[in-house]
Amino acid sequence: MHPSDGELLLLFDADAMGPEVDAIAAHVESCPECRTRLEGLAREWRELEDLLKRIDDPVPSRPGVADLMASRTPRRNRAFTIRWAAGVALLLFVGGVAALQHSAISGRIGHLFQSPASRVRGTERTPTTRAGVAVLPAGRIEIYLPPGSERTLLSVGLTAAPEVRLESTDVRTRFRVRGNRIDVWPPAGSSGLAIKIPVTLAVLDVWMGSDLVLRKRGRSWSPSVQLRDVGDSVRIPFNP
Amino acid sequence: VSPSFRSEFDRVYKQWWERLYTYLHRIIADRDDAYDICQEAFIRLYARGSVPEEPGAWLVSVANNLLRDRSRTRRRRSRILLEHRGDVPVGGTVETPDASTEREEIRQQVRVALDALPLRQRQVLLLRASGMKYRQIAAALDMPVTSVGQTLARAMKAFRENHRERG
Repeated sequence: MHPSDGELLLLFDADAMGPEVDAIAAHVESCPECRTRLEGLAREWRELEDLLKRIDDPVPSRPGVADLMASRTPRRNRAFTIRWAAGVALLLFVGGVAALQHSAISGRIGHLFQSPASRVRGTERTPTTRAGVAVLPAGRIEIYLPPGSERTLLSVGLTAAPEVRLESTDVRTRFRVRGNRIDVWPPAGSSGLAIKIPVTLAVLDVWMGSDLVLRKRGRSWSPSVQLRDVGDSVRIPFNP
Repeated sequence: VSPSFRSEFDRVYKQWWERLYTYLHRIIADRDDAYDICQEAFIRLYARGSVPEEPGAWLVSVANNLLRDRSRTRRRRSRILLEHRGDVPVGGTVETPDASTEREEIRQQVRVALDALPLRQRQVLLLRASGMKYRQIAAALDMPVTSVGQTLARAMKAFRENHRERG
């Protein structure tokens, strides 16, 4: 009895082995008809592979692991999530200001919030004269340090050894990664800078001087910033 | 993340990125979706914290689950495409197709022939074309190894017939 096409195809699989495959191979060796069928299948498979290549586009380059982790938000949904995040951020801002007006540190915090840490210009943020932080879509947190922050230590706690790409608007900024913490020294005489830290590796807390703690609701701050493994707070740096 | 996991992850990432992306792109014909799903599969592998025995099969299995989540959108999109396929005006002056038009035509024929296959056949065909062994395909699709050959043979036959019909 002749093997089926499916059984013949087993012979193309270098890993396939066992008595069943041996029996098929032995049959093919002694059966000219099956040899012809096998050759036909091989030819057909080559043609099929060639055809499939016709629908291929160039494969996009593989992102680095840090970028991979920072890209949890699907690219297609970014416009949507940016709008979503903007809405959530606005609500947090308004709610935060209202709540803080009654807190013991309202004077200091009010100072922080009444003078926004950044101006938004297009998609770029320009650091200005106040310390602040922004939780942004696409998995980033931006920290703004005002002038006179020299020698100020800013620490960022992460749940894992960071593989983050740290960026600062001032190239003189020094970073030190210690275990799962990043220490940041703004350069002396800096006229203010922004430090970008991808947060998808889960920022536990960010602090500088006094702290303002925002409680996390649910599993994340916003749909676009997934702090899945984070504790329950992110601390906003505040430079008194 | 332990250094040994990290190096193992890097190896799998290098080895499987292109194959997984190509498989996904061929199966859904959407570069962005293929890219996103490919990324998400690797993110899940990283989050898993250990590399499974058959990483390729594991990644394909995760990617297929993600694909399933998007299948409703995809079905709707295919339906719209099929509905509008006949909208191209026919008649008038016949122009000699240039190379790119011809390429696009072949591409379209292959795509249609592929899309007409039942999902399981398409998956087996494309995974085999991506170089996966029967054992790996069986693990990825949760099917007996013995069925892989039969499904592949049916897929090849159906593809050939579909392609001939449109060729």
